[in-house]
Amino acid sequence: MGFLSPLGLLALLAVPAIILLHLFRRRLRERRVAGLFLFAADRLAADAGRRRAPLRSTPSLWLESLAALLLALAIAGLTFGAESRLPHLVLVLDDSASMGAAHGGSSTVERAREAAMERLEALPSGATATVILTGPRPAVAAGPRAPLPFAREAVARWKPERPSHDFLPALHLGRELAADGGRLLFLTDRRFARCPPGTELRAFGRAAANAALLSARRSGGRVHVGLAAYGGLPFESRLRVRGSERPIVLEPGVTQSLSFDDPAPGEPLLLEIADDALAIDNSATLLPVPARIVGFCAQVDAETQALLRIPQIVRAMRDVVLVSEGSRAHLLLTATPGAIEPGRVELLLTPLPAGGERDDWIGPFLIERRHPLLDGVTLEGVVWGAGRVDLPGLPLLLAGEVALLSEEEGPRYRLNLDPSRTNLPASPDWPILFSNLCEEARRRMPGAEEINARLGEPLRYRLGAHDRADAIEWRLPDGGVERNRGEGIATLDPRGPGIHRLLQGDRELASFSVHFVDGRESDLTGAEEMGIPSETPVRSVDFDGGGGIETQILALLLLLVVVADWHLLGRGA
Amino acid sequence: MRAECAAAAHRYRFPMPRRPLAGRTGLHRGRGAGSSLEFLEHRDYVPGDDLRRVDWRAFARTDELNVRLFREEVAPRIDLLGDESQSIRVTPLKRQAYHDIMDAISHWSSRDAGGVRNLESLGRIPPTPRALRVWVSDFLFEEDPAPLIRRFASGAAGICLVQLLDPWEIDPAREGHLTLVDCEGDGRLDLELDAAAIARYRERLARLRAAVERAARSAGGSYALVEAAAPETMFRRSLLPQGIVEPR
Repeated sequence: MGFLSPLGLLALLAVPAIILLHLFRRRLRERRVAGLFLFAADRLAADAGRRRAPLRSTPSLWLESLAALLLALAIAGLTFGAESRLPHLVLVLDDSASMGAAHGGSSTVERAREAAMERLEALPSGATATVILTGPRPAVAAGPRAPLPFAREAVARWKPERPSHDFLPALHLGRELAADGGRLLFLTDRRFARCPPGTELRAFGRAAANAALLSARRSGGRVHVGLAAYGGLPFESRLRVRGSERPIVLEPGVTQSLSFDDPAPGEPLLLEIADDALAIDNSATLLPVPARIVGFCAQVDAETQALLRIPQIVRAMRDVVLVSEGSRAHLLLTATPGAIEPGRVELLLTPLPAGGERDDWIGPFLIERRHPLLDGVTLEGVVWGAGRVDLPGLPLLLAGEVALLSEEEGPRYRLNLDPSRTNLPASPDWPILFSNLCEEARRRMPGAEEINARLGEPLRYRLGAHDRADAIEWRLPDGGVERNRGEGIATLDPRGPGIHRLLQGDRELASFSVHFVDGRESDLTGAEEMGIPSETPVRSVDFDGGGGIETQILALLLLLVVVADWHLLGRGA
Repeated sequence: MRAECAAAAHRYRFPMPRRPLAGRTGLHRGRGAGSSLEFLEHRDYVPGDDLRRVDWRAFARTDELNVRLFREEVAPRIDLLGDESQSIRVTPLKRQAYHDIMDAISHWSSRDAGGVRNLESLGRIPPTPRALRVWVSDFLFEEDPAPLIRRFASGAAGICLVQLLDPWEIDPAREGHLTLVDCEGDGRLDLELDAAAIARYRERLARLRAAVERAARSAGGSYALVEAAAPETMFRRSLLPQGIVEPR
């Protein structure tokens, strides 16, 4: 059983309306009497408004309610087992940013939208449609099997701004949803060779030259910009920064890097290049990046600190300061395990066994390279003196069967290292390891992790002890609001570029600038207008326009019920 | 008359009033002189008197011709006034009860009196002087019944009023919101028939009954309220206690 126009079920509201009318109706049960004058003084006052009377189960009530039900079912287009008979169009819309390219009058998305609307209009009333937006996670914008108005609305809302992604998840989803005989139509801007069987592809792109910002970053009082052009000829453009323009000539396929002093430290900085075929990659706003100072506390003896070269390393690290109190530290180096405090990273130098049982390892070392703490660590040429102890926790670094570094909850990293019998502090791996530790501690500090983010990366804000996760919301560039759903960390997958603000009540916790940077989307040279019809013929549909036998039966029943009610009422009068 | 009513009517008879009646020669004492055996008085002979009535013994003593007059014996005449309105037919039960009562009275009149005459309505057929007049109605009219009843009783030897009501009219049930429709017109009335409304209705009905009964009594007549029911029930429970009928 299904409905061709589920909105028609709103007509069911007539049922409570009928009940309400019967509750307040003045057409009461009648009784013929001889001495009417004896009751005259008890006449219901006409000017007192209608009074609610106990609802009586009268044939009229039941017939009128039944009539309303039949009418609602008829309007909603009740069908029995006819869903598979109805046309079903599955639209897969390319949601990547290159669809926004405008070249030769209209944009690609406008042409594709027009085609989608035409296809929806061509469907008979009662048909259904499903609208899927491509993306790393395909999104069903309408449906499955939504009425056509919903599908048209979803197509009208379509605003492709995503970075490059694979279309196959969306196409496979569309193919599954169209498996009941529906038609699968993929609207994009270029040829896509890996379409699943049965997919009709229509591309509306037009090849064009385009220049793009490929990276934008501000740090240390400098602004770093990466630019590229796509097309057959050198591309002349201009880079505008706070009112000043500098001409640039971009060679096709070559990334050009620019670096200049930050003209407005502490203020938002808008970088723009001249308008071209794709607008979304022409600008980026860089917000001032607040310093996130990591407090480091070394609770080991001076000899160990000297062996590990702690003072030198801390001096070399940016935004890392030494603190004397462990309670204020974000990163703690200690030799005695204590209570783990949430939000603090601890590096614990494991006490060596008293018996002096230890080994000096020159390799091979087994490194868990997926762990961010060991990112860039190679240990080439490193001699590692370690005691013969079993480290609790998850081993991250092993020499033979001996764990040299492990991770516990907290996080607490246990280091099985004899500072006096190793050249690790003198190797490049030690500052890398220390830097990774500082970054780990920085990530766990309350606040925004990355103020200036690329579209496609999640925005993350680690909540402080006094922040209330349930009172936090994201204010999107288009004015929309999205409630925070995270505990401890507020995250958001931005759908488009622009300034995203994180609010707790009226207080702004942080602002994030999201800019679009994706060379594959900026390259419009492969765009083309073409079409590939479906290899699988669409199943012939014998569609009766929604006026099936069900509607006729409902109409007949409705007529009978209305006549019966009219007869009853007439007789009662 | 249907069999059930005839069987019930057979067990009762209509008592005649003590006041002199008018009517054909019959079994009941009339108000004038007649030919019964009951001596009434003497009067002077006038030419044309029946010579058989001359008191010859008195003539022998007094040489005066006197005529002996005897009590006239009459069969009383009954005028029966029914109710031709729709109100008496408002329910099947009330309609049937009305016909039963009318048939029974006609039966008693024919059997025990000098016949019955149906008055179609008050005023259309002149009532018989000094007849016993019986009026069967529900008396549910808005105007004061007393003038009508006095007019009905004028010149009658006696009157008898039978007020016939449907059981619902005597004791209506609580039925919530109702539209009451006048059975004789277009009148409609929405009301909530609750305990309070019923109490007020009963009070007004009691006043109406009292007015009818008072008018009947003041005319020297009798009155009975009859709740529509089976004939035997109506005769035994309503007419018999009020002296309208008596066991035969």
